Amino acid sequence: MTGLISLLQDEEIQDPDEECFILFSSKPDNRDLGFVSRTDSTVSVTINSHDFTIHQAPSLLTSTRETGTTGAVLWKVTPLLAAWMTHPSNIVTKHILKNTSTVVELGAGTSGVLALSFSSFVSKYFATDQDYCLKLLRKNLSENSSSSEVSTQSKGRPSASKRSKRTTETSQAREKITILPLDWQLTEVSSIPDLKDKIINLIIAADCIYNESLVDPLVDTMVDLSKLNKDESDKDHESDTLVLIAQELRSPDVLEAFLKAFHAKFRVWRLPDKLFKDCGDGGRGLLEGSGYVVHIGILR
Amino acid sequence: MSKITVAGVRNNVQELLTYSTETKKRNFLETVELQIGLKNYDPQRDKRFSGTVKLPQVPRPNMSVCILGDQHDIDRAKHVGVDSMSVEDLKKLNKNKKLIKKLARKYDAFIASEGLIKQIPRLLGPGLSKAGKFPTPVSHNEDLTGKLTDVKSTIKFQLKKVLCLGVAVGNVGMTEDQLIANIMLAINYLVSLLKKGWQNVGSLTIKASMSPPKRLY
Repeated sequence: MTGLISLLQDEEIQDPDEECFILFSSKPDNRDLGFVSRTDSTVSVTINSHDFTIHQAPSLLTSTRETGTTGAVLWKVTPLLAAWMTHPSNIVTKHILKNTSTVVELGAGTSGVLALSFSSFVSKYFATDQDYCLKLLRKNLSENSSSSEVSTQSKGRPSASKRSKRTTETSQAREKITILPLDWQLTEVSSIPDLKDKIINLIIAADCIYNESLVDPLVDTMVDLSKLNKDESDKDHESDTLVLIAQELRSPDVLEAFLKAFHAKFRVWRLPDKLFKDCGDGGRGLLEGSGYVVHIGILR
Repeated sequence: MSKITVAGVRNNVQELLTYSTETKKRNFLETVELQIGLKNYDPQRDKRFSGTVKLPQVPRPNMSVCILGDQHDIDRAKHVGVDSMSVEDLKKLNKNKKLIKKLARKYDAFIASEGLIKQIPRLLGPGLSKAGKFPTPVSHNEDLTGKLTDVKSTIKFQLKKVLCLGVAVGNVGMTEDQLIANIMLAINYLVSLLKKGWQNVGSLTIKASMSPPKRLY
């Protein structure tokens, strides 16, 4: 953790207003709302030469379900994040995804793209969202996970495979992934049995910031997960939970509301272009001016 | 996929232009606004959209723009006859909220020298952001006149907490075809921003500043 922060030393955000101003001044025109496809019931994505076929629920997206339908389709920032995070030259990944790590993804939606891409790097991956997403999420994970396992092994990833030699390299990616219902507005994190005794190393939220009314519940959930099972006497902050947020730039008002609420509870950094450039094509989609931004935070 | 036809829009545009340029001609250039009513959209849950798109014709040629510039860009601004302010000018506002609010109101849009963008929030605080007027960066290699046209041709759709919004898409000094082109592009772009596409569109209306509204959809 300290290694990662020293990489980012100059980038810590002091003023959320200023951050928002800079982000939105150089924002390109949005092409659309940010879905990969609004109407296709399957989409293909390739993450570092792993092909996934992802089922979507366009009819769910357009339904009038009262508590939201956003998770029904894949949003563009997700595959961009997955491609960058799994790129072999990604030094951030080396710091934050370890074969001992426990990861919680918030607002995973139905696609499972991040879970499928990262699960082989970590010990445990919890993909969470509201109930309505989970059935299709399960289908996407089970239909794609065997193929991801095979290609992961054949490619071999220097840092990850070295460490995981002794562990269960043959174990199915599927077993590492647990699907959990987690509604930011309703779920009490400490009451989730699967997370009992777990210390969360990384929380991922891809395109979860899009509406002011969800900002506070989302930040509260991040705080609760960061505090989960933490030993108050850990002075070295070695068990600190890292929050990683990848976001398409849409409404400045909403992002500003989030950054203010998040900054009040977390130290925040924006990942600089250098980290994306290191990964060539894998990081190109997230460069400054792309319309996407990645922040990380650690509880104050 | 489109739910409205050019022919239908043309009839309405013709009537609107006839009213504003013949029946009741005003002594100012009326702006034509596209008014949108949304439906099946939950402002508490759904993805709040915000998007900008460049129209083929500048909708409001009289739109006021201010350049927040370094010396090079201030000189260029003077050359093309656009208002400008230097870092020194901005410092003189002394972070006074009222003065900054006044500045944000005085202009419809801002362009800033690329190198200055990062200083501006420190000089002005959140004043311009609050007004939704994030400056567009310009580099010394870019043509300033072209940039001004870009900024003036760009319209913004931003959904707040209510389900209606309006954007200026043209003026009554434009030809029928120019106005139609702007309207069609604006509508198609709007629909691409909506989660449910046309299912989210409740109504589309065009209206000149002083004309009765014309319902397109």
